[in-house]
Amino acid sequence: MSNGPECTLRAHGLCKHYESGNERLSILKDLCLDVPPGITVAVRGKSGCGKSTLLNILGGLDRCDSGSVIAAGREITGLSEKALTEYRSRALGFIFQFHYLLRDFTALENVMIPAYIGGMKKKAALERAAILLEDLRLSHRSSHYPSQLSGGERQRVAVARSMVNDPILILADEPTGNLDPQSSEAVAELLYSTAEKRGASLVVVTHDERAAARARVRYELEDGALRPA
Amino acid sequence: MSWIGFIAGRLASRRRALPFLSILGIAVGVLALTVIIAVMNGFQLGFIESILEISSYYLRVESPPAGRAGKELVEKIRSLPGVRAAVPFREIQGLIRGGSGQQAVVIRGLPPEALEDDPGMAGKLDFESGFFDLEARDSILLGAELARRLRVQKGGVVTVLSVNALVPGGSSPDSGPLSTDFTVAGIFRSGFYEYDLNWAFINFERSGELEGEDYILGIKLADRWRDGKILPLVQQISSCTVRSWREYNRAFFGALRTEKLFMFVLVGIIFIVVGLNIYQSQRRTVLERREEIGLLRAVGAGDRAVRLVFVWDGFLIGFFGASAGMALGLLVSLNISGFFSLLEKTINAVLRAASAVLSPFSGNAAPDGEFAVFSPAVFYIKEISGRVIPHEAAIIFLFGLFSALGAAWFASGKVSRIRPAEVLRYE
Repeated sequence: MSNGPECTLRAHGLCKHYESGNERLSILKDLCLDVPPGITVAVRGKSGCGKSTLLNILGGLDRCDSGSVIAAGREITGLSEKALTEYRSRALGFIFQFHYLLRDFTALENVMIPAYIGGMKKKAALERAAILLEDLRLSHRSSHYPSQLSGGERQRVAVARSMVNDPILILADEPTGNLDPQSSEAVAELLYSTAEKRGASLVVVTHDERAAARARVRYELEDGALRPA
Repeated sequence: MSWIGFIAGRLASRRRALPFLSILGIAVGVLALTVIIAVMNGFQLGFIESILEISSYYLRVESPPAGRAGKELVEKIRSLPGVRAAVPFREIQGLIRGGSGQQAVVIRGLPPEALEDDPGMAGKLDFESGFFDLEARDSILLGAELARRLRVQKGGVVTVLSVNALVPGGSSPDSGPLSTDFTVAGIFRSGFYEYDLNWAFINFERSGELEGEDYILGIKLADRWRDGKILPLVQQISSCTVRSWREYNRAFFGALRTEKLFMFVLVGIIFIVVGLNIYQSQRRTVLERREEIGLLRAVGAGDRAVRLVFVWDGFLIGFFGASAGMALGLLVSLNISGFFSLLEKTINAVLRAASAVLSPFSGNAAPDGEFAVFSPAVFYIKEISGRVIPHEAAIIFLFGLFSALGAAWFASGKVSRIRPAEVLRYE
């Protein structure tokens, strides 16, 4: 793991547990992770090992029991909900296993919404969304609603949405987990190449070996801690 | 925050039947309340205006000076700004005997030129026979219902007994006769049943002979709500006790106001029903869209902002519903007679058609009678008029708007409890 203040993301000593009846399940145990700028990182692990929990903590969607997360030069573990919302809007892009596109909005509108929420003018947000859809070879589908798109196309729209605010860090939770092998490969390729092209750091958690293979740095999450794969 | 309107507008426009039903609910509520309150205003203001124009006046100067000083006072008051008429009158409680039966009545002594001096009163009196002729000292004008009850017509003779003369120990101040005969010079209708049954007018001078010289000066104002401003001026000029219409009719007008308030509340219950409907539908929407809410929060929308998406949705429902209901309500209220006439024509056409179809079986060639919403034969009204009071219309509009807004606000409370990490799992 690299050291130094230049890291986009630095997680240190993360611990997280869940109570299940009388049982205490430790999901993360003193986990450490550094992500330098522009580097793609893959975290593999079995189902239920805590990959999504890790990503949610890094993205400020969940809180850890102890430890620290410094993202974009700022400690986020103690931030208020409002500050976390601001952090997600300015610094992060999220991709989930399911696309979670808003069904009443076109592909173009779905991509522009995070930028519009982030304070950009509607016209500028639409222009930026159009460029991203072009990068992801989806220009011809920009006026289509999610119900009119294939699974792979929806996930590519979700990839474009994660990048519309020019985030320094993209967090992807099983981005290809819901796709057929052909689409999976295409989406993974586009995700990595677009992140690299834009100079964003990328953390992908996945159990798909092929999706992980494309990352510059690869880890295995096992017994609540990361080890190089 | 313009994205809130963008998203809320899209959610509202692409939902299926729910917003339409919610908008319709608000529109029906606002329409019903606007029309009911307008018709009620029509009736109530009709009563109030009849009372003010015929009976109570807007200001009353009690026991003003008689003779030349009295005439000078009338002229001074008439010249005050905001005063449109000043008429002296006397009021006698009495009994009238006619061709058949007798009736306790209020007999008002008025100068023969009272209607010329007071066009407001002239506008409220319709003469079935004769006219406002009090030149002759033995002339009397009777309300139409009173004349019908006494079975007298124009030119007939009635006998008046003043209560003053009937009280033990009492007598007419000039020791005149206890009962006096009058000739009916006209029969009037006022649109207010009480006056048509219980009121009669006689010559002012003659009333003084029956009741004494004491009289009251009735004043009409251009704007009845300015009574508080003009009353002190009149008091200053006359040095007499002056009373306002509010004080004089407090109980009756208070009852009318209470009646309207209760009607407002009862019809307003419809907004509770519509509000609950909107609350339920919005809660269902929040539940159906929890993943989208989670996504919006994950990509940087605050929980209050996401809540505003649903509140904005409620605002749109309330605004469009209340606007449509108010537009229709005003259209119906301001053309209420035309509306009822159309309703009657439609129902009568349907009845005639049904009768024509059924006549071969029933043997009747035509319906028994014409349908009428308000038959003058049954109800004591000539026509229904709708009066819209702007501030009441504004309150009704806000009622409709806020019932939807409030329902949406409470229903969207759950938004802040939706945790993106929990709803955006795909397992």
